Amino acid sequence: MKMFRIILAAWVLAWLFFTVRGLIVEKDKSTLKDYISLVSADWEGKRAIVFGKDLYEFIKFCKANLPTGAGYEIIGIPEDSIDLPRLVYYLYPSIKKRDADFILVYKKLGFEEKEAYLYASLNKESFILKRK
Amino acid sequence: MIYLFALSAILVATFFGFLFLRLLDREKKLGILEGLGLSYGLGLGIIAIIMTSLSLAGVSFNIFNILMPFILIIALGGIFNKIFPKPEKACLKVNLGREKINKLELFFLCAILFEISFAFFVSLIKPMESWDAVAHWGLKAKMLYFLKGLPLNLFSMPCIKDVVSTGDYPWLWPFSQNYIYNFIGCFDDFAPKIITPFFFASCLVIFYSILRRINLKRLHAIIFTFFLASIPHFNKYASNGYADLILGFYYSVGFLYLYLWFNESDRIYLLISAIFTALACYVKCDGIFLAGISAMTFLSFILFGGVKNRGKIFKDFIFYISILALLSLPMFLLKQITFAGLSHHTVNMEMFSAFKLKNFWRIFPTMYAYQEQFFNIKSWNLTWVLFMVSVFLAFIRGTLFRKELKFLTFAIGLIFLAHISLNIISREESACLKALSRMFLHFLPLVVFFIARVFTLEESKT
Repeated sequence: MKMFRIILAAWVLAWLFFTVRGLIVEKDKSTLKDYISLVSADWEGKRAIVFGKDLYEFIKFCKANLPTGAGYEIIGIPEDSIDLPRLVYYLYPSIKKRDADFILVYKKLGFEEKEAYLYASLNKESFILKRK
Repeated sequence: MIYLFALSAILVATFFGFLFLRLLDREKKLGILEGLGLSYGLGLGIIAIIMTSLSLAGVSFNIFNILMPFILIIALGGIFNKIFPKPEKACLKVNLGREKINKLELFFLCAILFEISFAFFVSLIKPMESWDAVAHWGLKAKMLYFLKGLPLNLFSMPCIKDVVSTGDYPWLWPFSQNYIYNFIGCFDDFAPKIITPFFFASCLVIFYSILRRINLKRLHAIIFTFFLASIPHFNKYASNGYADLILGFYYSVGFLYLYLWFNESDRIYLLISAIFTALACYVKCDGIFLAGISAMTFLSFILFGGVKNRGKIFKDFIFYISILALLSLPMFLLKQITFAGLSHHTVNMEMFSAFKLKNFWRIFPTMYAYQEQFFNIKSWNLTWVLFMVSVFLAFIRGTLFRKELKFLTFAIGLIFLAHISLNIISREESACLKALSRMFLHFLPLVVFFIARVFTLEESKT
């Protein structure tokens, strides 16, 4: 039982230390500062903090401009980036597919596609192209 | 406001789960605290079975279609219990107890409450955002909401297969999210995040109750519940929208009630164990593998448990397997029909034919990956170090294969052995190692229970 008491004391100390440390050290937007800004933000603000302002602006822009259920391709977000599933999740029922009518271009200044025209534009580097 | 509606959905599911549990618990053995913990998982689990059956019947999802069969089941069960009543038995009902709470107990209770509250806080201030939460589970739930159900030809629809990479996964977690959407009447990326912290809280309540049922002192039961609650790897998954904590909940509850049944042979324990183990199969494919481990542990109990009436125990085993098979059948049918012709990349029959002897060298990278998990001090996951100390202690005391520990040892050992074998057999090298830390999460409550058993073996005998 003495051994158990030592383990328990060490565990509680480690728990206290790492819980407090977790609120201070920068990691995955989980510091006390991040929590305070998340609590004080409205729903839109929370999404913008979690996804990053630029991506969330782009998601909102695509949702507003893509016809419901339209197919799209994405340019500018790597396949292994977490931004990709987030975008796909929020844009559903529009679906990501190959050779789709719409091309969503994110942060690719000057990107062009043959036989596609500018359908809607968020800014110079993020826009939607539509295949002719 | 949206959270209030989501909370109402949770309360309705828990209430129906509670009524269902009362029908099963005819001798009124379960206390309120334990019953509430079980009711939550049971409520959402039965809703998942109903939604699976609705999908098979081609019926669309709406709140009436989802809850009506549940009400019918409870009504029929109520009539059956009226016709064939069973007297209430005097037994241990697990509650917090009437004795005054001392300072140490209060400290650990506050620490547990802090962990639960923090899990709710972290979960509810963020929308669905982590990888699997949006890429697999959340996307599926949203699809089902817009499609108003699960069409059996879902994966032959253009593009769906490209978008959903884990099509052959069971549906409990997307169904639970979809139930919330149907209840509140719209899609919302925050509302379903209320579900997993409740699983975390229920898991702790049940874990505490089980520790009390094996005669641990209240203080020790609270301390070991705190151990479980404070494991960062465990409480992190209470708020990130992944399905692993949910699987850990169903599998661990299923196994631990089986363990209680090994000691007390009460029918209600066996029933709870069979139902929760079957529900583990509805969460992830790994649940099927874990259900197999529970069934094999049961068989080992028949063979090595020193039981006097083997014939009767074997009948109980058939009863257990029948419930397991009957409840998981709709899920297997749905999986078979919706995902016909497509196969899981890691576990299928083809992988056995692809096995080569030279694959045995994979034992080295596998062991390396295991030690990385065992000594994962970076995220202060000290559980596995403590587990190894416990195994060592139990071994030198000669209790590792004694009645109280041998079936826990057997189950945990078998999980490791089966997982290592799977990694050697699998076609794709390291396929099973990619999500190793999450695989460890599925049976973490069992491991903490093992540690609790080792350190309190002398106490619980009294």
